[in-house]
Amino acid sequence: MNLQDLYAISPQICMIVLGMLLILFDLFFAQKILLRPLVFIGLLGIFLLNVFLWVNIDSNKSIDAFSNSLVLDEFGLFFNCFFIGVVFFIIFISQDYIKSSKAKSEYYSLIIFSATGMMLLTSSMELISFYIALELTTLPIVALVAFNRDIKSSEAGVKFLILSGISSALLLYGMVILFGFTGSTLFDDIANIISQSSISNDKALLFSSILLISGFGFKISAAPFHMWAPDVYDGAPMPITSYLAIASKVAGIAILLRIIYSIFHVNINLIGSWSEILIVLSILSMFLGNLIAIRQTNIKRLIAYSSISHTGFILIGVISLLVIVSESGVSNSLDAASSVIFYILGYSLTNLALFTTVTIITNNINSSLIDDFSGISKISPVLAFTLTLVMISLIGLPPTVGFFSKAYIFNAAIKADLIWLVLLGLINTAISAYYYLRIVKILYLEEPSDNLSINFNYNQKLFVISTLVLIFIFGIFPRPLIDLSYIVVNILV
Amino acid sequence: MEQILWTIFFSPLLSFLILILIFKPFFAKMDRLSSLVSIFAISLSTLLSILVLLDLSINQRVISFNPNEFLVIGSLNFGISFILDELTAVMLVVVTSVSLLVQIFSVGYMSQDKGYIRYFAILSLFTTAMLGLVLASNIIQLFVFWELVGLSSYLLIGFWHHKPAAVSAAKKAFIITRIGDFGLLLAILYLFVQKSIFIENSLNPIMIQDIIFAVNQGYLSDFFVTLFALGLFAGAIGKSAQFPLHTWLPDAMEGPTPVSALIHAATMVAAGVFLVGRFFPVFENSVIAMNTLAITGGVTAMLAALIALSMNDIKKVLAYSTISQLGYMMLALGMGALSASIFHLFTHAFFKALLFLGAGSISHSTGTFDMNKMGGLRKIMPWTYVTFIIGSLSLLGIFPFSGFWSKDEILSGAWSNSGIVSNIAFYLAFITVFITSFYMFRAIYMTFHGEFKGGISKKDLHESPSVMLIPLVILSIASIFIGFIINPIISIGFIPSHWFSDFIGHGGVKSHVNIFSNWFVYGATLISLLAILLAYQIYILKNLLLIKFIDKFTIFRKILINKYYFDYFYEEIIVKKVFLNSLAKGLNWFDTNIVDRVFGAIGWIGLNMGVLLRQIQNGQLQTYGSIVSLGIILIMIFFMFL
Repeated sequence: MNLQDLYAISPQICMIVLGMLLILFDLFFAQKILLRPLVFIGLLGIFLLNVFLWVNIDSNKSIDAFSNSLVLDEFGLFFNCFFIGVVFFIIFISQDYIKSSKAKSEYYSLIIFSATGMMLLTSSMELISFYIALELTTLPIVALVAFNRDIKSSEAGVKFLILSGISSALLLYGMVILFGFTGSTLFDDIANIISQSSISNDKALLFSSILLISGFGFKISAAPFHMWAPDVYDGAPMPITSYLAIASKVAGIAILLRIIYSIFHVNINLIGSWSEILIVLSILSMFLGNLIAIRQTNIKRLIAYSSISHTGFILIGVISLLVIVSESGVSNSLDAASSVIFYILGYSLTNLALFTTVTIITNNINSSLIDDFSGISKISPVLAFTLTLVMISLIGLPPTVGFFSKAYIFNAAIKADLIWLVLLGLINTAISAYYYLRIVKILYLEEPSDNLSINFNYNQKLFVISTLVLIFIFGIFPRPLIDLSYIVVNILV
Repeated sequence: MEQILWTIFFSPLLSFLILILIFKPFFAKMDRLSSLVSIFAISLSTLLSILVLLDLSINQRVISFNPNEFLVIGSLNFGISFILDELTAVMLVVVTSVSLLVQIFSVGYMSQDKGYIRYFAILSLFTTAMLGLVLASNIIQLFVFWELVGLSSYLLIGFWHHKPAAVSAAKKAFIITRIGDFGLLLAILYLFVQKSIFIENSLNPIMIQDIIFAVNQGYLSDFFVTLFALGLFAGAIGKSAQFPLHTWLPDAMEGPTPVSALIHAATMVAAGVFLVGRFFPVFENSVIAMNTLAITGGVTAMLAALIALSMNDIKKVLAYSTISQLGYMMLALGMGALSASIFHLFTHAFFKALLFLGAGSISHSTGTFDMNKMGGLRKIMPWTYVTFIIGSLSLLGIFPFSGFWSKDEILSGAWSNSGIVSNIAFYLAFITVFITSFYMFRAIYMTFHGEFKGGISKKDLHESPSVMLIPLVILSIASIFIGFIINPIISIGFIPSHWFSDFIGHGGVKSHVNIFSNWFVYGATLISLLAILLAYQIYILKNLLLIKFIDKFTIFRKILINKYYFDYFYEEIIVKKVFLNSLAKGLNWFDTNIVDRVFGAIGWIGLNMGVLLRQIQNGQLQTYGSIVSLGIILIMIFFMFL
């Protein structure tokens, strides 16, 4: 271990230190009121550290650390910033929840530890550290899901623990086969070996790939590995639901991209099978998610199914990337890869607004049934309008960022000659419009119940309006986000 | 220069965003400050617009640039792209300066209103949309802002949404202009049909300059040019309230009066004229289109002026007057006199805004627009009275008010053309001068002269506050002088003679006839004075002989009061009989029996699939685990062994 190694993972180290500091602070000081500012300042500091690292790194170059098992590059740095931003957001919307649940510093620390896991995950280049980071990501979430300590929440926690255990087992099994096959845990070495033509057709590689994809499918809640999502989303506290829907899913997609580009892209045959398997997952996710979402009455379950169907859409981008890689080489897949990142960005932005508004509403009406949202437009036009714009963005209509997200994903698919997949995507967009617009109808066309009142403070209002503005602005001027997503994937390709 | 144009466009947009996103949710009590923000933004735009106009008149260069790329599909590039030419520069000044004065006036007029911030926000949005429209250099952008202008007009007409009349007027305006917009949209779509011709000549079919270039070069067939021009004109008919789509404008007077002054007199309704002006070379290449313009304009001018004779609501009189004056502008365009038309647009914007604001000032005091409940106001509201007279004289085209210069440009434009259409157009325009004079002075006499007949006590009447009078005075000054100053017949100081005509016409105006050498200049003034005299006889002296004479024509009066039964025709015949009873019934049958059944079946499948699939989601961990294992096994069988 030398200085360069520490330099490369300094953001992750700082995150861990911040999480521990918070616990210590809670032990020794009585002023609980200082916790939140401390978290925010700490996160801001780490964010700035990331920005500093990003400014100082050469694009197209990466810094290897710990004998190639971790890496510092723009891809990782981008996701570092992303996860810090998400943590910031989660803690922001947890305000009311923390007050009501008497949570202490461990709530913050658990989120921060889990985010650290994700940050390590996106920069790991070796199977063992990859797996450790994955467990660091998952275990704190188990505790957080069960944080309410009531039956529903605990049940969700246990379900998440067991099912993520299964997924970890699958991943681990896949990794073991990969290791047994190549004799190395380093991504680079594995890639070297599996690119040799003598073994490129071996069934064992395919076997391990299927196991890996199943494991990833779990993390990104792709059907048929999605079963945990609705129950866990429903049982978990609202802020944790949003953490699962945004951070957890994005982390899954990020490592999928990382693994594809650092290991499997060298083996064309394998890439072909990957894309075929993912096509099955994608179509299943879109149809299952959307069709079941139609009949949901609970907003949290609806969000769960909606996020499953969005996984399907993201996978369309990944599939077209794989098809392009197998047909015309890695260098041509830049557009498709950036469309995936762009979709992630648009999806996360929309979900930020979605969860903020839904959290405010559910806190005020003490119910997460969609029918109880009736007539909110008459009481809080701002919330109703934001939620409407969010729904429009989730459907993928202009003038919102969701429109361009879908447009670029479909664009990538058309370039990969997957027009039939685009058609399936469009059919699903139409199906999803039904249940998204039903919420809008309930918000606007139905009468509010008598004693409905919604209070939220200036911070929340400011946040809601700024997400609203961002969704709208990026729906008209998407350039900055598109440019950003090109920068992010540039290092991979 | 690019930055200046961008600032002009962006500052009202920013003001709209600040008002709607910051003031409305957070500082709803600070309404005075919000209007200051809005007025500051629009002042900046006004100042810069005047600078741009001056700069352009000195440097004479056309600027076009693309600040933002929005979407690139193959070789088609959709983006925000701006163009600055003479027409745009003039429109910029009209839009921003009238907006500014109207906003200042509104501070007084709307002071008691609950929706104060919303009002100013939508005014800013309107100004933005209008600026985007006049700056647009591609037809898609032009269409987007065209619709955005329509939207803000809709929002402002229905501003008092608790009044059913306002709501239905807003809907009516929106729907009827949409009929015209359909033509505009067809014209745009037709461009895309012809895109191969454009691409062959390496032109972009959405750029206005390229379209004009292609038309001038004869790349496109005459048939296409005519059809395209007529499509554009359909849009202009809707927006500029020409016959037969004029019926929305009088109803639009339900909105706040400053809005009527800004949108329904000075700027938005002139957008149709602007659209034709923007594509003027296209129209010039089609005789049919030009004749359609001229006849529609002439007929509109005449028929609308006749209706104005019978109206008792002062704003309705002004509304029909606006329709009639827009008819003049269309007529001038049809005669090929682009500069005369834009000149009239320019002067009309000021004097008509003045008249509307004057009407607003009157109702601020009397609380009504019904002229039967007014009278004798000239002693109580001297400022309003004098400025209203100035506006009217300008509208009548009395020497030396600004309307005189522009109206006579139009008349001489029509006179100098030969052919049957031009002759008809000229006489329509000429006779309308008489009618215009009569209805305006009828309105003045009923409002300001005689005894007060209103319902409220006379003590409550008052002159408006100075924040409302200042815009009136400024607009009066403009109404007196601006016509002569910008387009003088001889050089005065640093302004060359016929500056405006040369500026708009790129110096290509054939010959500047000295308008005082034409007989109709004196003729028009003479018949105006005659009409004023006639109105005086009837409404002040109550000359029994004349009144009896008029009473013989009750049938005409009935037709006029019912506005030629256009509303009846549209609502009773077209909407109720044709649409509701025949077309809609048939379609309804098709919809319920075929479309609904098919989609009902699809929906049923979807819903029940959902139910079926939900059975799996039973909350049992064992099920979940089994499904996962089953999934993996199936995938393995499928991919490894098949």
